[in-house]
Amino acid sequence: MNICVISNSHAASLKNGWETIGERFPNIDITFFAAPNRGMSGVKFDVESRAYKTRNHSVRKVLAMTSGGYGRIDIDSYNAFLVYGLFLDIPKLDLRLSEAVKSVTLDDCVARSLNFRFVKELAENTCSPVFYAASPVPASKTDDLSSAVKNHHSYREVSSWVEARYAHIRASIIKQSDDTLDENECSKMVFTVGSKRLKFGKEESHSELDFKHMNGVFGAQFLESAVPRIRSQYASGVAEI
Amino acid sequence: VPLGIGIVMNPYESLGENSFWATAVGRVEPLNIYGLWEPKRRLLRRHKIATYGSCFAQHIGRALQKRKYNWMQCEETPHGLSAENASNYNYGIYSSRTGNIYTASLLLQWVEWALKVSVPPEEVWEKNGRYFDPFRPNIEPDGFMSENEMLRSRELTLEAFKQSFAEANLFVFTLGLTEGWINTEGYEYPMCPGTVAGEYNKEVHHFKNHTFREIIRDIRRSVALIRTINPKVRILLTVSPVPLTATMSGNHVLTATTESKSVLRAVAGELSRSKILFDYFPSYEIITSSPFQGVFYNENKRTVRPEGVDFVMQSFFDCMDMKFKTQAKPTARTRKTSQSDNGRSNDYVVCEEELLAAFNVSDKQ
Repeated sequence: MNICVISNSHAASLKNGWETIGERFPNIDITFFAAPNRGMSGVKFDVESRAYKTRNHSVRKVLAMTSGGYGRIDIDSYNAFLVYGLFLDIPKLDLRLSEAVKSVTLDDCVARSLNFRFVKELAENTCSPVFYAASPVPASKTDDLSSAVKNHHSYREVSSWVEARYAHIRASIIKQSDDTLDENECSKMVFTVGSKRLKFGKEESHSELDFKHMNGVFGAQFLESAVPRIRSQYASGVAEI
Repeated sequence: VPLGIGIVMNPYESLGENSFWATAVGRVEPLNIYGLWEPKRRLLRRHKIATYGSCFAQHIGRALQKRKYNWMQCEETPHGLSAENASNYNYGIYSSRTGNIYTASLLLQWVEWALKVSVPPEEVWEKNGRYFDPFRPNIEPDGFMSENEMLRSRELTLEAFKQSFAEANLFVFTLGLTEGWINTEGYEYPMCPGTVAGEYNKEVHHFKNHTFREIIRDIRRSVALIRTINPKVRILLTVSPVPLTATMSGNHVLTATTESKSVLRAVAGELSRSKILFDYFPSYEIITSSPFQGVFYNENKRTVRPEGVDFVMQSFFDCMDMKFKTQAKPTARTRKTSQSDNGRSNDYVVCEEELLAAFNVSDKQ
């Protein structure tokens, strides 16, 4: 089974994690297509060739580097898709915000993310299962967890509101697991230690002040729960056929 | 007595060129008039600055942010909210979502509520099943879905408002109006009930034109309260150059505007002369005075064009440079007005007063 992961810099965590757990999934291949920053915004779907392509040489180069040689994404080559990160964030929403503010914030979060664009296009143009996941919640910048979480909606709650905005699309969300979150519902600091930049083949760590990018341990934990789900949905689809 | 070197005939002889109309204004291109403000203290980029006040104050925060000054936004825009919607919901307009604070007594009211010196009244305005905050009626375009939601939202704002003045090195307040609407229970509204929402009741709602003494008193009280938790804060006052949309004073709106702005200008002058704590920046004069011949106003002769706003703010930073970086005069380049902040039109300014114009039939025609 071939899983295609489309992402941005957050792919580094998944890639590093997959390197440690891939052996446990002998029949699964994962191909990563990722470009840092907003590089993926120029990667457009070409209906005729049924592929995602870019005219930007450097983005094509980084896609080839992350995927192991492919400068374009031929969607028929994969059995399932995971769109990971790509500026889809689960915002912290204060409980005292009005419903209108919360609603319009989440509308903007989803509609303006590259994640939504890719998920929508994939769901419309392929019969394969499509999964999506938001960028990991940034880690807390402080060790002081005394300030309670009570003023914010829970990660689960906000994720479900984000999910509702994808409801009309044939795609499933994969949420960040609870045990990666601390009491303040930030990612645990342990998952940011030694996180690597999206430079495959080059070992370069993110700054110690980077609270947004997770390490391979996080990626491994995420994929350990995501891959069986993806495999299972793919298998049930095949069985139906 | 024979005249000799070092002997002056009169005190004016020793004054610099900025003290004489002819040399400072009359023979100078308007855009090259300089030195209108001599700041008392230096403003550094690391200083925390809170901004509040009348509509015109909205430009100050944006200009500070654009120039990478530490403009406080204590009520943060929710992560992911687009700039357009943030503006619609009044995020990033002032240092917290108080909406426009037009008068000194409204400022005092907010400060007292934030410090729990007094409690906000329980009044809520309901319109078509939506609930509006009488003290910031335009804060959400469609109001709130319940009274409780409105109160919780205000609680968040009061926390943020308190944080802003508790931590600010500089508290900027733009005085806008002397005219206001008071409830018989003693509290003030930023807008007359019945305009944006609410219901006007002549037995309960009374017009008040605040006097010089009352405004001085209210500002002093506000600042005294602020200093109970932030003794080092400095206050920068400005006066909005935007004329009144309407007056209830019984006078012509033009003379009412002149009287109102004159009072506010006098208040700012009195406070900045009397205390080192206060300073006054003359944005009002820069827009309204005769050398500029009204060029900074839009066709309605009321709202200020983006070029005017930019000129005001450029003057602010030029004056700061002249005083503290020993720049003799601003260069011609810096005096030229540039694009408005973020290229935004002045239409973005949130001004409830504009809504009053909607009730003026002749204005609609």
